[in-house]
Amino acid sequence: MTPESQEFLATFVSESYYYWASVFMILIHVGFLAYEGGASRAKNVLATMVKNLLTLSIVGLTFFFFGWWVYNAFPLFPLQGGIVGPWTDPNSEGVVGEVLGLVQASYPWSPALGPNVADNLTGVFWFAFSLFAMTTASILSGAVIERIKVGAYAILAVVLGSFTWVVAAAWGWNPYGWFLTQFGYHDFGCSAVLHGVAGFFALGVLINLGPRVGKFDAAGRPKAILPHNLPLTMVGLMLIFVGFYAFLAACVIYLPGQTGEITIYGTPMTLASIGVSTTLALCSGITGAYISSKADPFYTISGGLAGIISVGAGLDLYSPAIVILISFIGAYTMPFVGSAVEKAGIDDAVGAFAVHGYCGVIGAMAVGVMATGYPQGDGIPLTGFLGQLVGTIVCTVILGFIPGYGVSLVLKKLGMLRVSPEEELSGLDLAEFGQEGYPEYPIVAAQNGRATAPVAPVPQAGIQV
Amino acid sequence: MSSPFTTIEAFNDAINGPTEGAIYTFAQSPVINAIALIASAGLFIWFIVSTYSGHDSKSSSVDKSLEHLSTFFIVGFLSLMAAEYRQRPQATLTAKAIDAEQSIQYSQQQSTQQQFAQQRVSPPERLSAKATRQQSIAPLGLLGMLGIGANPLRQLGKRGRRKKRSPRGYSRRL
Repeated sequence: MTPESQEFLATFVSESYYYWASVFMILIHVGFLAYEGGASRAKNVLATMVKNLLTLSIVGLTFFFFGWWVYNAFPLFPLQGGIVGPWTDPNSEGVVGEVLGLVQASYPWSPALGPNVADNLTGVFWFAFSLFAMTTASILSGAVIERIKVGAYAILAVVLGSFTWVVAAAWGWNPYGWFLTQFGYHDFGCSAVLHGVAGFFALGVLINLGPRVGKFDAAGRPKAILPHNLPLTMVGLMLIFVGFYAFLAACVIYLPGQTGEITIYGTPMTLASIGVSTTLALCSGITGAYISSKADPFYTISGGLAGIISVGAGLDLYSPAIVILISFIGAYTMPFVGSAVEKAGIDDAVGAFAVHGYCGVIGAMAVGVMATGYPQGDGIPLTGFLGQLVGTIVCTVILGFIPGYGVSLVLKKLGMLRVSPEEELSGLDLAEFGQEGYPEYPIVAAQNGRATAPVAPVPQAGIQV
Repeated sequence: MSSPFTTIEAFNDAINGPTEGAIYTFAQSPVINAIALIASAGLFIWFIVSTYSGHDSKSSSVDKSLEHLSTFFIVGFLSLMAAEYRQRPQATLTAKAIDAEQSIQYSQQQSTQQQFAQQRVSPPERLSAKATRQQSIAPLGLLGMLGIGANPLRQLGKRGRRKKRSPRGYSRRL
């Protein structure tokens, strides 16, 4: 084998690794589609699933237009420098010069994103990051089902999926990000950077969106709106689990010329330990949520995700036994947070805040308690409580809750946020598509939260003996 | 600090460091991870117990089979404790035997009767290995016997109580 072919082989291994990890990440979206479709009522199943489908288009395109540039352009802003872009001096040196090289490869007109035999890797990293972005927006989609306008959701998905979480990633999941360089922040699996941002963004939106009709009685007591297909919801979450393995594998950095696997922060790690720790977190999370929710099927299976998110930030550092304990605690307490949100009058249809927002905070802060003192480079502070606290607050409050609340408030004031009560009662499938998700089956109106039962046409052609 | 490293150089060169490549939390103080492991096992037992608890809000009663499970856990724990207790004196005896045999072997090597000495050493070593195996199997066997025997014993006890109660007319009252 010639040196040239060996060099190409190393490039191809890296290119293939991220390509297939990203392909498997699409299973997260298959899972979200099934999960949220099952969690909705039968009269809203099509609208819910189409909204999930549109998430791919909305975030995929906007991430190409500007999201990828945001990730590469924002790491130094505001503590170490400005936003890097076409206005930056092309002769810049030092860190700005290094960042500028990445920024120039991230413009939508960049030759690095098209077929280019001189660059096999920029495109595949864009692919992986775009799926991260779609995942973030999908977290919001579950919380707002059954009453949000598709247009409002599209705007919110762009803000969350292609901007705010990307800024969080630029600051906290980037070797040049100031969370790392100034505070020693460590968030391997994006607990706060992705899940925390999305969960708190969803909370801000939910406050303005309001609950579904019939969710609370006259006295403000919550009433159960049951999923129309809980088995589909559970299958969906199982698919999300599969996708999460790929998501976490894609967080491993392997580039040609490296002598070992590293994290985005440049610290050593192993892919094998990600397999062990993710599995243990999944198992432990399910047991924790099972106990605390008293075997509630919805919370129990969400516990697997809660467990993984609770250890995500330190997944590359924790010993297996520590993984079990942290994921258990995160998942055990998650149902209580879900109930508290409900008692506060907020209708989070899939528990997105409890699973992603709350467990995202637990995950990021757990590093500050259980994985302190890790070095991440010369001149960079050791991992610790303060660094994790700063990063977590910025992610959840400044990049999560405030943008979510602010944008949804503007949409609400303009009457662009929520469907009319009539549309909500008749079901979004009829209102948006003029058809039902299950046209062959008569659905009991009272159980489906509908005012009047539609008269389904009987297919006469089928009655032929 | 839960990190086994203080510098990035030591972290990157972990394979040549005191932890021999281990980079996980508390790798430098394994006792903490051992405690965490025991706590994890405790949580798992809690989970198993909770699967027998009544989850339906209409019936807050506890499944009767939980009694069998509790018995299983307690007896298993006691069995392991007993095995640990018995292994310690045995280990001491084995060590003494090995020391004695080694001294014999040494003296016999000195008298150029090496082959004969090896034949003498081998049987006690085999015996001690066999004894260790028996020790490790003992608690498992005890657990299995109790698992099989506990339920019939309990049913037998119930029958016995029923026989005693029947003359008092409890069943007729019900």
